[in-house]
Amino acid sequence: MSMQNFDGLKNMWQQAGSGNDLPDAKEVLAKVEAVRKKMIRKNIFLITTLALTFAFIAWVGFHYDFELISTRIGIIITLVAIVSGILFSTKLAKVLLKPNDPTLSNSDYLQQMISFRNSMRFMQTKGMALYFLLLSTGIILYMYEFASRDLAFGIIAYSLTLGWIAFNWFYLRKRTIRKQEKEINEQIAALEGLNSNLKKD
Amino acid sequence: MEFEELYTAYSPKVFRLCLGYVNDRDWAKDLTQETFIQVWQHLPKFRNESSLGTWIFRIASNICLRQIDRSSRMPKAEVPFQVEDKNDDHKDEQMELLYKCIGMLEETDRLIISLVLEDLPQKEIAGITGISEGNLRVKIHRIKQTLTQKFNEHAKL
Repeated sequence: MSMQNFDGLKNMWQQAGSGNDLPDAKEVLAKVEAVRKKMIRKNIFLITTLALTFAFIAWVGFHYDFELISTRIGIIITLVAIVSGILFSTKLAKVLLKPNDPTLSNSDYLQQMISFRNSMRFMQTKGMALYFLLLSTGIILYMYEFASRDLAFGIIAYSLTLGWIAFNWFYLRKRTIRKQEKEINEQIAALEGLNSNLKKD
Repeated sequence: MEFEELYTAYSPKVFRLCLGYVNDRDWAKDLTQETFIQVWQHLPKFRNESSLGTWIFRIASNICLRQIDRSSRMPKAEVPFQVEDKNDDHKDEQMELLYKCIGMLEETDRLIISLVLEDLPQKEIAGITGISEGNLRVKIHRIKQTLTQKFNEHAKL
């Protein structure tokens, strides 16, 4: 091969076609349409799920005759915890925080991805703490009506439940957070690496 | 401009940029498609502050940078295999070598040099990347030298 200067490389680059690699415009438009439909379907699914859950909470809360109001409140708090837990761990977090403006400059876009991950990290740790707190409060309140009928049963039921909650809080939660933190920290480090490469001479 | 026209005019250029970045034809094809899906979605927001081409390149380069989600860091291309010196007609091989040499650069340098190879003015490249023109000029000079040197070293093998 002959020696090339940069202009030679530029010529070569500009003459290169894309082979038969690229689909034609119609195919891409079809895909665009598919993506749009999928997004609408997703939203409908999300809204339906939410509506059904709220209907269910209302039904459980008011249908049965519990003696104590704490039982009812317990059920509602528990369900709210579960639903928000699911939403935040899956869709809502992405919808709320997703950096979706690819029309920014590269350096602003990288910055946006970094702050997105920082908010994710915040939400994962603080959000998870809130989830556990709500769930535990809900369960403890719900149990009270049944546990208060018999002291011995009450003591056993509460110790087992509190033991389980403690195990989750001190072991599972810590472990999950450590794992997620590691992943997010690696991503942030990689993004910051890209950003500093972009900025350096 | 109709989407189809725009796609026909810019998709080969976007494909080259993506291929330089990821060094994988299938992957680059996906990225090109992803870019044009985003172009279509954001087209109503396009305000003629820059040329349409610059705007599309900005989206394409961000889509490339976003690939960090897919693998923690884009692997640098391996040192290219020896390209045999049969004759100069082997344009494909030369082209392959060029992509591989670009793949050996830092991720952000790959994007910058691809834009230079597309003959975009430095002012527009500065607008795409978000770095100052002064800084960019120094960078481009350095990347051009590195790339040309790498290409010639490996072409000689």
